[in-house]
Amino acid sequence: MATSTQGKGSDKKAAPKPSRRNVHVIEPMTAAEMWKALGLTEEHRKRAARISKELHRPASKK
Amino acid sequence: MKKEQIFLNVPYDRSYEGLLVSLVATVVAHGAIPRMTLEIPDQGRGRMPKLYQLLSSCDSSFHDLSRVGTPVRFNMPFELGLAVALQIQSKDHKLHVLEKEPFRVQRTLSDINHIDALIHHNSPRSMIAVVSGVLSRTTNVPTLLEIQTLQKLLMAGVVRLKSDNLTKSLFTVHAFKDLVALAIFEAQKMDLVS
Repeated sequence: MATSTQGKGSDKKAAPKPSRRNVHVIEPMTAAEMWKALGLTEEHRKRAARISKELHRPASKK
Repeated sequence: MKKEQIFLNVPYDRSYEGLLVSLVATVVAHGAIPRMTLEIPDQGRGRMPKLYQLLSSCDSSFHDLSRVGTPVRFNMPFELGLAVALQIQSKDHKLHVLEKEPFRVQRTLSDINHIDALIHHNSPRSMIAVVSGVLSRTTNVPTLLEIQTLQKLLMAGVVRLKSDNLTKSLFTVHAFKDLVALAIFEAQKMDLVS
């Protein structure tokens, strides 16, 4: 994916676009790997789960 | 191809929070993790080695030079300098410069004229687009719409994140870690992260 909004707006000159050579392809981590790499704990997971539940609650129940 | 940690060198001010959330959403949606200097507690002489260690543990870095007014902010260009040194030593490190305005960095920091700045126009949506333009992943590449959806969810959760951490700012280590934890949690629910 290389979508860019550069050059939009009132600027007369288009901004330089990043070279494709600069695109780096990531081997995606799993959630568990991310969790471990950042040193996140069970407490972080519980807080994230609680906030997520609130975010996905139907508007009428908020 | 490697599993990536991405260093975010951005201004720590409240007006930047929307852009920070965009960066975190984009990085996590690509299966990488964001790292920031606010994870380093030491403010003394031990800070520099830790900062350099954190930067060098990251495969790439984004440096936002859009704050050019007063108060003068030297931390971003300073850390960019460290990243340039790291790139000279280890060609594996990739760095990207972010700016609000096209061509301005050519005046403010002409030493890096060889680097094309990514212009975000101070817009969270543009930030997602330009950063997604230089990141990709081996499988299940996220769409801009998916990243925007994640970003909006995170923005909706920011107020709660701050109140949970008794802070008015996202730029504390606890609020930042909770933000990334929420990003991973939501990205997993959206099947962006396995």
